[in-house]
Amino acid sequence: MVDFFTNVFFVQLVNGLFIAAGIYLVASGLSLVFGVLGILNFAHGSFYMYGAFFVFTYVGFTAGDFWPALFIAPMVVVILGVVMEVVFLRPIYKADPLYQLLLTYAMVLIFGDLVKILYGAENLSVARPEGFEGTVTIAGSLFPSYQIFVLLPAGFLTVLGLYLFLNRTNVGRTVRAATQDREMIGALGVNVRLLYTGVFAIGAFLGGLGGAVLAPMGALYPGMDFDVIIEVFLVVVLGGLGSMAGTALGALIYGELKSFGILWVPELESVFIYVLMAVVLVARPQGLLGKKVEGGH
Amino acid sequence: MATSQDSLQDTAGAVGKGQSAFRDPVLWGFLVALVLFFWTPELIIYMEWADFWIIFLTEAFIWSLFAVAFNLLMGYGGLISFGQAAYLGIGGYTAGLLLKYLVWMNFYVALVAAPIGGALAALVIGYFCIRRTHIYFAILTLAFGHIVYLIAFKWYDFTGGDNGLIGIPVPEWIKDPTFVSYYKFVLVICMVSIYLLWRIVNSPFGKTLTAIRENEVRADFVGINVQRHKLYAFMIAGAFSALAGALIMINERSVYPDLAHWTQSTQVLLMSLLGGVYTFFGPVVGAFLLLTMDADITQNYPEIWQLFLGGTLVLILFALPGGIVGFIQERDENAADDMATRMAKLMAQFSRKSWYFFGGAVSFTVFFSILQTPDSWWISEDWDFELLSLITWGILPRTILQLVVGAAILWWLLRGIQSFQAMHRWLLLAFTVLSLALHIYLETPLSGLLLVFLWAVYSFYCLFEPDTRQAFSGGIEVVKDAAQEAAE
Repeated sequence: MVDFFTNVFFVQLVNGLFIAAGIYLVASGLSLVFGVLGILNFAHGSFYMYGAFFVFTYVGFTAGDFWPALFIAPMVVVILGVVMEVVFLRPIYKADPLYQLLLTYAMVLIFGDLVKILYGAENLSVARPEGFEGTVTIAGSLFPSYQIFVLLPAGFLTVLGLYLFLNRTNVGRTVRAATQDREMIGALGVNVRLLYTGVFAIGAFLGGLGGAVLAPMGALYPGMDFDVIIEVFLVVVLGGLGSMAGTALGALIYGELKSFGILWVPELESVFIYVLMAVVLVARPQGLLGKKVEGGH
Repeated sequence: MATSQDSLQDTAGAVGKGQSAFRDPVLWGFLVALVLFFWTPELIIYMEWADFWIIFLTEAFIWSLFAVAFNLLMGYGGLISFGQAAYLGIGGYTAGLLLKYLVWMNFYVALVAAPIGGALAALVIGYFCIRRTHIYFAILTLAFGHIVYLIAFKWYDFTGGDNGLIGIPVPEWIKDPTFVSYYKFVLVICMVSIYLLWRIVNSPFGKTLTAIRENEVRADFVGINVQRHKLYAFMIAGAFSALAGALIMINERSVYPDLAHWTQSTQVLLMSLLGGVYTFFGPVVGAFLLLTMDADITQNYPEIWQLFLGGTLVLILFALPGGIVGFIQERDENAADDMATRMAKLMAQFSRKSWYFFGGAVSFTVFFSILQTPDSWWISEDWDFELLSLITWGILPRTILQLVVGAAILWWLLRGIQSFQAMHRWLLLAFTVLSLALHIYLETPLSGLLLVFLWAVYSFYCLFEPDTRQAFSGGIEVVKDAAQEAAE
């Protein structure tokens, strides 16, 4: 009996990690962009959706292998992101942040209908890559091997990669400095325009990567952008907007809460996270690891 | 607190201290509009237009109420709610569930329960949301709005899940097959509600809210309880949105989770932006315009509606930040100018804006015509070689005619107006009215027609105000010289 409970506990714990890794892949890009550009990008969910749909295009139409798609799809999303940044966002950086928010909202609508036009309104799916269709046994429990060998490492590598990039490289240090003080960075001679475009491109890449990695795990449908963006918002608000560590922590809490919530009250699993967010915001308005001052946003 | 409110009360304008409500010109405007719209269905039936227009007007008034309530937050409070549709859903479900499950429930009690339910929900949700501003507020309202949607969507035993609540009992008179009686019911409720909101935004409370929007810290310093005012605004907006939701529910005798979906929040946001967020009546104009565009587009291409909304939003943000009503009201005035220069500038601006309206109406008409009848580029099928039966012409020849003849006349008229020739302002007004009649006769898409209508209203507003009237009747002599100077 005890063995049964520890087993269930272990399974849910790992399932929670899966959810956390998936949501972190998407949320990290949003958080990074917000930290540097001060823009809350509604269209980040669209990047996620396009990442997934481009994988479908690559694997489906060119009968290509899954692995290159994991890189190619996010790169195409990067092009979309850069075009969006240069054409639409750049002219209104000086405007009210709410206008920027509305603009990204407009992009969500446009991107959303374009997917419907390009791919139709039906659900699509991407097959899991060869060798990862089955399950693996860990400590007596069965887990899908794709989640264990692809999703978890992808999430972990993203955390590690972003950490190394932000803390060990000069570009990363500049980006981090930009999250602290945007005006000062410009005064010190950094090309702020290029920095913004670059960071936005990285954000778009991460969003697209999230979509690409998650594509084989569920249905692809127009509207998945909006379903994910609300959850991503929850995660980054919970962890503290703009804080990368906070995003990782938020993702972990979100994943485990969802995973154990299903076990406890299946109908209300999605409500728990909202309740938690409400509690956190009353107690710590800046989020768990967010900066104390809210500033101009 | 007391002192700040007293001083604010002095600026409360038309409905300030010591004035009877019946002196308020806006109230008279409301009454006239009420009477006019009250008898519109009779006109529609008499003219044998489609029943569709009665249904359309019903929806337009409900959405106008929703948009004005939303704009109390966005325009007056500076709080963008991305989840306002939640209250639409709460209102619809409150009234719907009461009527469906409580057999003894009175229809009017259920209708009153909807805004109370909306206000209570807004109290709870607002308690969390108003703690944060700007982007955080937007996210929080979005998240809480999504909870409401999820509850409606997933709680099958109570809300019927995505099957919705159907067959909600309503009084017999609402089931009137001509839709007229329900239209009149909605019209009266919406007009009264919008007037109430007008009184609210012009009360000391509304002025305080604007003060908070402009500078929250300063408002706090002069002793205004910022959080409480925001919460009240949130509740008022929630209550009126819920009322709108209940009206939609009654109209359809059913309610679905989609009523609370984020796309509805998008629509109301766009209506406010399109009409103009910093004006009270902007959202009403926006609601009518957006719904006509909806009717024009979704007839043939429902799948590009969101794309179109997104494009419109981008256009507004870049080109028309004040919305249409803001565009009409905005004037480049300089306090140092004398009357003559002021008039010259005003007319120059009027000419410029007239061209924008002309261009906008032409492009709207062409755009929506192509969407509606994509195959009649050159001639329509029943073209019968009669030069005067414009109605059988295709889109392209008609547009060219419109552009060439219309632009030539407009150019001549505007030149006259800028040199203050008395006849020309009447002629220009006649020109806009004639264009309106031509649009109706040719049955062109309604969005272009609505733009011409707004242009006609603007022309009247601008050319027939007391100062301009004086200038045109020669009361301001120097004007013509000043106009010539301005022209050179």
